[in-house]
Amino acid sequence: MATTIEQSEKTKAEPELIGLLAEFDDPQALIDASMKVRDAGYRNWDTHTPFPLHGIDEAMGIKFTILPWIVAACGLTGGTIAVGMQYWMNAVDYPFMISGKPLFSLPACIPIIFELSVLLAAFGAFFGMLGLNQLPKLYNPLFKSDAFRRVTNDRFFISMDASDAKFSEIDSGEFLNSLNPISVEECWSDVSSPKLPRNLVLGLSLVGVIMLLPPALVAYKRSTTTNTPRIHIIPDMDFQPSLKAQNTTNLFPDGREIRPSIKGAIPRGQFKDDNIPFYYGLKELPEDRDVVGIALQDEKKADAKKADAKKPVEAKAADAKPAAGKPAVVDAAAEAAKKLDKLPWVTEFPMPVTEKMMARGKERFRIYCSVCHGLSGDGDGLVSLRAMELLQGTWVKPASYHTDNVRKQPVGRLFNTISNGVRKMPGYSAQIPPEDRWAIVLYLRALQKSRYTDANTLKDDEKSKLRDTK
Amino acid sequence: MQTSPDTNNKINVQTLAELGPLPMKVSLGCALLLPVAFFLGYSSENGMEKFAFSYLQSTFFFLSISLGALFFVMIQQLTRAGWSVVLRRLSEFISMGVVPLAVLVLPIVLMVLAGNDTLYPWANAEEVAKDHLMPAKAPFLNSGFFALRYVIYFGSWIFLARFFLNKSVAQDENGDPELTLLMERRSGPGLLLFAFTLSFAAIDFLMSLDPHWFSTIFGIYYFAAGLVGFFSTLAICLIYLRSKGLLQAPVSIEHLHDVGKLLFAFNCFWAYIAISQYLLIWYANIPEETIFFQHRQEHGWGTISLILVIGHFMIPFVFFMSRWMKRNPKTLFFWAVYLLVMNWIDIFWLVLPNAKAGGEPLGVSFGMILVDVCCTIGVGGLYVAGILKLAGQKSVMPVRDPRLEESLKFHNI
Amino acid sequence: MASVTTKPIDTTTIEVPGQRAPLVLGSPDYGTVTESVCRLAESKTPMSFYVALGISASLMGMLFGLIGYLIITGVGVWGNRSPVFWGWPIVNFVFWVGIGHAGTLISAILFLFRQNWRTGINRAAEAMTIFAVICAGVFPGIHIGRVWLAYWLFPIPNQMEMWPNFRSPLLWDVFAVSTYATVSLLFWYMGMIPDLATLRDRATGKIQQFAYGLFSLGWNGSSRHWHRYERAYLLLAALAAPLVLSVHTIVSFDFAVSQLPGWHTTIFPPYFVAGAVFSGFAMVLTLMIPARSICGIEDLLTDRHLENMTKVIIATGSMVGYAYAMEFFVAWYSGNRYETFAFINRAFGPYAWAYWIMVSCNVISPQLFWIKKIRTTPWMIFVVCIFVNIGMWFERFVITVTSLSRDFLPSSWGYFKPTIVDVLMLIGSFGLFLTLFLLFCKFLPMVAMAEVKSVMPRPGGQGDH
Repeated sequence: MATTIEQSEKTKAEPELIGLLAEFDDPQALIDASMKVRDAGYRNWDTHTPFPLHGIDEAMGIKFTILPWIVAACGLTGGTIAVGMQYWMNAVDYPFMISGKPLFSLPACIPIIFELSVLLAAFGAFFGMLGLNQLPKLYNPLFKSDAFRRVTNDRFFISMDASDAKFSEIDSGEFLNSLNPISVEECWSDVSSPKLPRNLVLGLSLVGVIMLLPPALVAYKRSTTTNTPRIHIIPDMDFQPSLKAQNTTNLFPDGREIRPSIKGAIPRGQFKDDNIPFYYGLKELPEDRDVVGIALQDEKKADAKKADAKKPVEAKAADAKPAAGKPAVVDAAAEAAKKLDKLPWVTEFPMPVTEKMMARGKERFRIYCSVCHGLSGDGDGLVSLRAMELLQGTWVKPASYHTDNVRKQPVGRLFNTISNGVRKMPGYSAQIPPEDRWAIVLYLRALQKSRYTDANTLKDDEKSKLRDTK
Repeated sequence: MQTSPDTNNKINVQTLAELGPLPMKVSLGCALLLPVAFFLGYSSENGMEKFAFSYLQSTFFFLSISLGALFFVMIQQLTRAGWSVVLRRLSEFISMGVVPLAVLVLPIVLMVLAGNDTLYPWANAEEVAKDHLMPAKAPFLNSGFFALRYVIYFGSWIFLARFFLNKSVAQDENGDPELTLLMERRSGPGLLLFAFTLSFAAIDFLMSLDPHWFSTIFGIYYFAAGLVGFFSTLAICLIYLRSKGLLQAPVSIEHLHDVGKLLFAFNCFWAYIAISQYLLIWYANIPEETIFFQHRQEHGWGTISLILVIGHFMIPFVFFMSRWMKRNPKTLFFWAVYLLVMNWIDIFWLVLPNAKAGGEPLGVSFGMILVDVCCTIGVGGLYVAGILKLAGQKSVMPVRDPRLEESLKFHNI
Repeated sequence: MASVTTKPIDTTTIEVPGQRAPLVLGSPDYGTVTESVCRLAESKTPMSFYVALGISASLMGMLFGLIGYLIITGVGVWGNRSPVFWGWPIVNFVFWVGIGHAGTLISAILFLFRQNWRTGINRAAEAMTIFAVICAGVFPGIHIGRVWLAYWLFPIPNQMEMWPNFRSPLLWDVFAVSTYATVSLLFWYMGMIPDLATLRDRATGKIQQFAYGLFSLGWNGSSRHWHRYERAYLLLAALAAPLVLSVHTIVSFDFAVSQLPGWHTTIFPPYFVAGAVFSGFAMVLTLMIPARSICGIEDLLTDRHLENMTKVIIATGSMVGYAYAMEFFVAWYSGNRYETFAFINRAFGPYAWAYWIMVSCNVISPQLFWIKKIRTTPWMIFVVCIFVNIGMWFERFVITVTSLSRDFLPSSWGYFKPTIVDVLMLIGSFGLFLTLFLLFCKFLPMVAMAEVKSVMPRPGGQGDH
């Protein structure tokens, strides 16, 4: 038996006759016989040959298949999908420019349109053929016939189905015999359900169990924890010989792994000298470029010393006399401050001041500055209050904007303070782009102004506006 | 499949002469349109340019058909094809069109020899000297060498076409299978010669119209166009002859189906070659190459380009694909005529955008098309008349070809 | 085929005009065809088979080992260095894809052209196609660096919410090669269904019965099935024919849509296709000449088959020669100094040796096939085909490496040197290919029995094929 389904016990209940099988050894005889069967008016019958026999289609009256239409439809679907997919993916969902090509253009789509059309059409041809032929059909009663095993070798058969309206066991048998076949045999249906061979069942079960193992393992690992480091099945560039940031190396004589930028090099996008007021807050850069930085450093150093000196000062707090070291420190700070004062700070905003800029400044101020300086700029931000509460010795209370010292400072100086910091305050140039820093300066000026404006000088509508604003 | 020589005796020898004198008269009548085209051109603005380019277009349109035929004849011999025997003689006749065309192309060569640069800028020594690229190409693009190459090209084609026709006609007399073997042996080297002459002819006569531009695939493009033209012509001729009672029995619907399949296949081949050229140039986007397509997108040529894309490829691809279309002589005739027209437009599109007057490209215009159509009909008249003359009293079928029986019995799967 | 043909010329392959040589030699009937093909799968396997399988499987193992090494270490194990970033892996890819063209060409295009002689070789050639495409697929797959992310090449949603770039010819390649592999597989398998049914019906062992029974899908030779089957086969052939052209066309786009001199030339698509068919046929002959004598199927795969294939080789070899000549001419004709340099550099630069190996193997050696004696002597065909295989590998090497090693900027010129990993991987890919082929010879019907039977003369019948 040439099939997977073994039939050990053939007759338990009553088998039914399902058809007749006539065997021929010559293709021409089959064609001649087929014409007679066709002319006799049978419908549910078929011929079986080892190779496609030309002339049998007409002899049997087989109608031309609809397969080409299925294939055409599939091909068309493929082409449509290809166009739609390329358009949507490259021009709508994830548009990006590459080598100046348009996001979507037909010439570049042609190859994939072609490939997908062919692919789907080929699927249509293959699966359409199987579908129309109702294959795979691993079990077929014809396979029970030993003679029928030669159908794939060198014999030709006519099979006649018992379901045919004209079929009758005796007449049809006689009719088939009249066609001069080698033999005619009867096909009977199975009564017992077919059984799979035991080895096969065992084998398949084993495969099934083995296939369950990987998902089971994954499920186990997903639901448990472990202390061992993870296994790098896929290295994915996890381990690289490249140097880590902030480390030392012996590659360079100075032992530094991060290379300082070369003197005079300007990083991309960092060229600022074309708009000095805007980027530096200075009317012009001093001869010595580094003077700003040096002045700041001096000031910070002085500040640090002051903080150090503070402790003994506080120790003898009752005594109002300054400690021995103090005047020097103050001097240094004052000198640094003087140095800064002398710089040519801009006094006007280097851009038009607008309502929008003010709104932006307010928003940025609240995000970046108010945590220390307080919403109104008194130096009573939450961070500061908390630090005071914790009695942090090193904490320097943020400056209030409303002191004369700060009020007198030109806008350029304020801009510089935000950019580079002052005393304990770090620079914010990395976090806040220059236009926003200027916006903050503008808002800061507004805050300062609000403290020193006489309400009587305001117009009525401004007063009512103030009252309404919460 | 199997044949014995005595079966051939049953076949009647038919010749084109049986069509009567009408075809010859009609084609000679058509030839009168050539002077009409000339005067139409002469009387209109920039008419000489229009006429010269139209004339080149017309001759090279018909040349593509004849060269396609020559290729078909040789490839059939080379592959020992059986099915096509009944069509082969007709193809041999069409390939003989290179003889009248050799004469018809001569004026173009003479023009170049005379230093006239209407068609070819490189023919004018002053222009060449002014240009930055042409002097470098002068060893190849010069009028003397050009004329010599013209002789080589047409000499080889006439030689090949005559060889295959004469040997095949000789076989009509004696039925000698040795002749078949001889033709099979000769067709291999013949095809090599054909490949190079055709490619270089296309480069010389068509590509060098714009001497700056270059494309390695150009020869193949012209070859593909020629095959489309040839199979259309073959289908038209077969259906016409069958309607007149010639070849009616030997050429069955099966043969027509096969000609239709080849026409369809080579139309796709043409599209493949065309898109290969376009896509590569479009994608690399190098100005010296894109200029070719640039010219064909402005001054009204964009419409013609679109007609080619849609009309030459898409429409026939969709509607001519079905088996039914190819097996019905009427529909096949329609598609053959349609594709022949498309092939004409294709050559038109290759040649005419190069037409310039005073350095300015001539846009596509009704006048230009009119001149070209008249010119094509005129040249076509001479071409067909030449073929009819050369076909003379020869049989329209290789009546004693050893594979004739196989061809007669041929059946599509 | 008329009944008269079965007379004297049975054992000859010489064709007289008007008489077709038989496609099957000996005294063929349907049974003997079945017998001679199935014998391979059914008879006891000779020791030599296991030896051959052992050798090729260990080469294959070496390939997989090297791939593992590559994945762990990185693509630096190859010789790909600036300026030649496309070295041997891409050369091998194009080489194998090219070889993968013969099978589908034989099956599809020769089928459409009704070249019945193809029935003897199409099955083996199709199998080779698939194996060659597998070998080809390996190289770009491992060339992408992070192999485990290869699925990013396909338009499936991924964690980056990115889509592939459909304007890239490399992506077209992914589609072309995978479509080609799929369609070739379908075509091959579909052709095999009736033959698998033959093996099923002849099988005696339980396992064989099960396996062949499963894969033959219950085929019962019904004429109604055959009708649709033939139509589907024809349609698949009609689809595969342009597909086979498209694959190497798109491979050529990988090079030709760039602006690199020597890569960007419009003849590339048809030239690559001709070259692919050329190399594919050479490889089919290289394998089939020994295989047919070892397997004893000379009656099915006759000298005439070999001769016909040598003719295809001359034809395609001449096309390749034509393309070389045309490229050279137009490089000069263009007047573009970079173009001109690229070609002068190929022929006389540091890679002249590779160029002249290519020209002599690809253009000169196939011309030997003009001589009938060489065309009809299997061992001579074999030798020429080996040369063609070598030449076609070098063609891809010349195209890829010479153009990259010397481009527009002389300061970035370099000379490519392969590493040992490059060399061993190429050898290993042959191991993969041969292993698959040997397994195919052993377990599957090597000749399309049903097709051969359909072109055989019918006993006492009339009609044609």
